[in-house]
Amino acid sequence: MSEMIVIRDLTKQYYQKRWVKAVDGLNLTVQEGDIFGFVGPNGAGKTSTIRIMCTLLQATRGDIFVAGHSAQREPRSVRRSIGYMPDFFGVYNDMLVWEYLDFFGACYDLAPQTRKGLITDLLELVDLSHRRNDRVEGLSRGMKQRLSLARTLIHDPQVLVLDEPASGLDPRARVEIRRLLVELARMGKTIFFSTHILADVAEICTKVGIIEGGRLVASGTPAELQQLVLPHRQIQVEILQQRLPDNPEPEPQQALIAWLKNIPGVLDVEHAAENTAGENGLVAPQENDSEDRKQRVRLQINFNGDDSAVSGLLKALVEQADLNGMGILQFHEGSRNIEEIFMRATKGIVT
Amino acid sequence: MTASHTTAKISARLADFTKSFRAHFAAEIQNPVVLKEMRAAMRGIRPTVLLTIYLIIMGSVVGLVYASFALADDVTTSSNTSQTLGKAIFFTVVSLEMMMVCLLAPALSAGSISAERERQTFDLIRTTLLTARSLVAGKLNSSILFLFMMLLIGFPLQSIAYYLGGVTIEEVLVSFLMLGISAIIFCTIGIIISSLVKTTLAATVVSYIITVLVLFGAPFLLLLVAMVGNVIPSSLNPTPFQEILLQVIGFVIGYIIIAINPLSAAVASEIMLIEQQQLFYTTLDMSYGWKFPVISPWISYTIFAILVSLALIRLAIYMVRQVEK
Repeated sequence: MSEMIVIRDLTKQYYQKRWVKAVDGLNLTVQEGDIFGFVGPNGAGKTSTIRIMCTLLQATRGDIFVAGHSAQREPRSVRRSIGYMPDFFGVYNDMLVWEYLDFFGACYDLAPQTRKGLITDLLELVDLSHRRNDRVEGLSRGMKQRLSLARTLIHDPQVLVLDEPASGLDPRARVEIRRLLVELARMGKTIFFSTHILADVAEICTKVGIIEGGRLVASGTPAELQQLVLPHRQIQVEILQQRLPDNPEPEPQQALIAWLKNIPGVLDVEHAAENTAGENGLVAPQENDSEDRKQRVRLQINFNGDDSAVSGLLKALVEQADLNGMGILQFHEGSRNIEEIFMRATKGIVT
Repeated sequence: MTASHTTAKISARLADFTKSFRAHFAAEIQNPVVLKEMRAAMRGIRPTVLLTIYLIIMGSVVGLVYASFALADDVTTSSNTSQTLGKAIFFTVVSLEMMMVCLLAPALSAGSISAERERQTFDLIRTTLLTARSLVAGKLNSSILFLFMMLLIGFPLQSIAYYLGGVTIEEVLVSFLMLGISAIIFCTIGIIISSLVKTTLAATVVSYIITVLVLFGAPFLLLLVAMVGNVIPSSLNPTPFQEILLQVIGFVIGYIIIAINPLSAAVASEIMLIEQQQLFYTTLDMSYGWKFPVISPWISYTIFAILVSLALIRLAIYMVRQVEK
């Protein structure tokens, strides 16, 4: 696999009453065939980076190389290699759907016969064949976005650069766009897209870069990022606390927690908080819970160890819980979601 | 170097020029911007309505001119009246066409680049392989083509004047040339304003202000120069040399003002043609039997308008090509 996008020491300064660095010494590499999610809060420098990549903006320092071509020195070669979809629709409402694609095909110097065949194929790909002769203004937001995606593909670029492709779309349209991006990656396209929607990143990205204050704060595969940002494992345990009349321990789970904290590799034990347990339904017992629910105790163990250590922990935990008159209902490793990684990686800096 | 060698070199250069011209012409014919703009301009009922209204107005005014002559005299038997009527119709049609050019050119061209910015399609176009030159040329050509179409549909009305007499073929050709050149320069003004100003509304307003200044500012200046020219010589009590010098300065300033304005250039050229039967060149009488040589103003206007248009087009291309900093 070759390097399809290389960002080298990229800096962009704007003057807004004072000099502001929108992008500050950014270095990044995207391999061929990657779906790269460029994530960051508003004002992080995502759009500036994308605009420099698409030859629309001049860098203050550094450069971006797309398919080996410099965005600063070889803009035409870069334009040939990329398909750009901005964070706005940018469509000619008075045009017909096929005319829209035909116009952009002609702008890429494609011959009329080639354009004709391509338009049919692309409309089929984005599922707009039935709207071929309709006016663009009559399309829904999701359809317009799909049409924009078809436009980016008209000259068969190697790289797709998409700025917030799913923003403002309803859930169905978002799913459709996501599916299309996965399909395009399967077809060999390298996809570089910025987004706020972290669920999209978790779902489809093979690589993620988190940018804040113009600097790259973390990058890698989602698994690498998890490792980088949250180095320990989070194990969720649900315990059934049986109310036995002869049980001498008034708060048996406290004893279990104390025991757990002494196990090698256990960093911390806490009641599972609602925000981290949402996916699993593990919720810490509340005062107003029913008696039946109170019998279930949900714990989160922050653990440092390999798979065999986790297996040993389970074995010991089952035995200890049994001694305390409790049973293990669930034991599994919690997934560290992208939101959590994002929140831990960023500090809310805006340039 | 032998003569045959030089001839071969010249013919090779000519062949290169012809090849390059053909390539440019083919590129302009296939310019996607022209096709897109013309599709947008001709789609729906709007262009049909616009053309119909334009022809009704033109036809009605020509009808009124004809009726006013017909009521006063028999235009079919009197040759003199027929020729006067022909001239009157010709001037009416050309004046209306010039008004149409001046009114429509800013409306057609002022939004060409700014509308792309407003629609947020400017960035999309700039990331394609379409050059800034092709974009500006496409926008300009589509505006000019629409105006040429309007001029062309007025041709049958002009042919009535030609049929009645009093109008020479040279007058018809010169009027077409001046109308065409005016369409080009006013569209170019619209394009350059559009590339400089962010919104279409502002670009349209500025374009109309410049058009009005070009059309009426020059005659006003001419009037001012004529008034000053009448006052100064008598108050200075000049020597013969000073008198000639002042006259030359007055003629040059007056000529420049006439030559940069389509209306005054057209009227002055027509006067030259009627009074001195000269289409290209004449002399004006000065004091002490001196003569002042003058090229017909339509030629100067054509050259001036082409040069200004070329300069403005280059500037517009430069503005469009600019990468955001």
